[in-house]
Amino acid sequence: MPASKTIRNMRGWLAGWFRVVQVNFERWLYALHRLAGVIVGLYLIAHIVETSETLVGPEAWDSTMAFLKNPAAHTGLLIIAAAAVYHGLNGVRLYLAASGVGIGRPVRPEWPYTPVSLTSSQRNLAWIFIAVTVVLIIYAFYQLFMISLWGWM
Amino acid sequence: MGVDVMRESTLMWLQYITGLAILVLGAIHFASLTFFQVSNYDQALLYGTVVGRYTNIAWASALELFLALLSYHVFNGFRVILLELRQDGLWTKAVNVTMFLAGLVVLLYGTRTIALFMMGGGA
Ligand code: HEM
Ligand code: HEM
Repeated sequence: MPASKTIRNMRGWLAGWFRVVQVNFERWLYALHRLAGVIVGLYLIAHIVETSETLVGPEAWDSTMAFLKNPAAHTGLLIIAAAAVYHGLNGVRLYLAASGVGIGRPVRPEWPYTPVSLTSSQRNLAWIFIAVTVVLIIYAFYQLFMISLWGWM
Repeated sequence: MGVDVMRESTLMWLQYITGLAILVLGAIHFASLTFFQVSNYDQALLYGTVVGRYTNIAWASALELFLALLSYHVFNGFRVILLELRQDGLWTKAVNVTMFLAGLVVLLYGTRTIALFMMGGGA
């Protein structure tokens, strides 16, 4: 293997996630999984503060909701919903991979040494979950924008 | 401190198990915000709808379970990411303790909302 291809132990803040050395599809899915997990995790903190407004009373809750009913806030919510759906469904794929489901049987290493896991049914599973993710994001867009903001129904 | 008592493999197994349960409860959460028992998103967010859920024992229990699983899953996730950034004993200990406490704060604060409604609180 040429020296330029050896992977150094990347240190430093965040460098390891996104410095994709040998580009492969699953590596990108992984970087996105983390990013999405962090986004939704941070949202959870804000979210429990937000929902505790209900204890203050109807006026406080309604004014928070009115404050959040605009294109910018709904874009934020759409991103959060998308991140949650993506992370959740990709998590199932990771769970299956970690359990050895659909990663294929070991084969004798032959050039170009592509791991079986990258050509097995795991790959197809990834495309299926991406398709489901896209459908659910469209549904979230329909609810948040077409119905709630634009009043189409 | 709580977090040191389990093996990393057990913690990671729990990451997956809580993740799967969150997927189910999260689907219910999103359904209840769009079409389940309501006709759309705006209706789900009406004060009456939200309080109706908090004061219903089944909904409140589901929310509490959702909250508890998330408190573990999210802060263990953050912990794993932070531990990767730097390898030394002090950092590891500091991250473990901080994430454990942060998860606990989120769990307790969220539980407060649910518990106060159960005890007839709210306006
Ligand atoms: C819906 C079902 C879910 C499943 C099956 C799932 C699964 C997973 C898995 C397997 C990991 C470890 C990834 C890794 O090794 O890098 C993970 C990490 C994480 N998850 Fe989830 N998750 C789910 C939902 C959620 C939700 C709803 C949140 C946030 C509220 C969340 C937040 C996180 C965070 C912050 C991490 C750390 C990221 C990392 O280690 O790379 N997860 N999740
Ligand atoms: C993106 C759009 C979302 C909206 C509009 C929303 C709205 C709400 C509302 C109105 C409640 C009060 C109870 C109820 O009516 O059922 C609630 C509770 C809750 N939500 Fe969400 N939610 C969203 C996303 C999420 C996500 C992504 C998570 C996971 C990280 C989450 C976790 C929770 C939890 C744990 C509670 C219970 C909080 C408590 O009272 O302690 N929600 N949400």
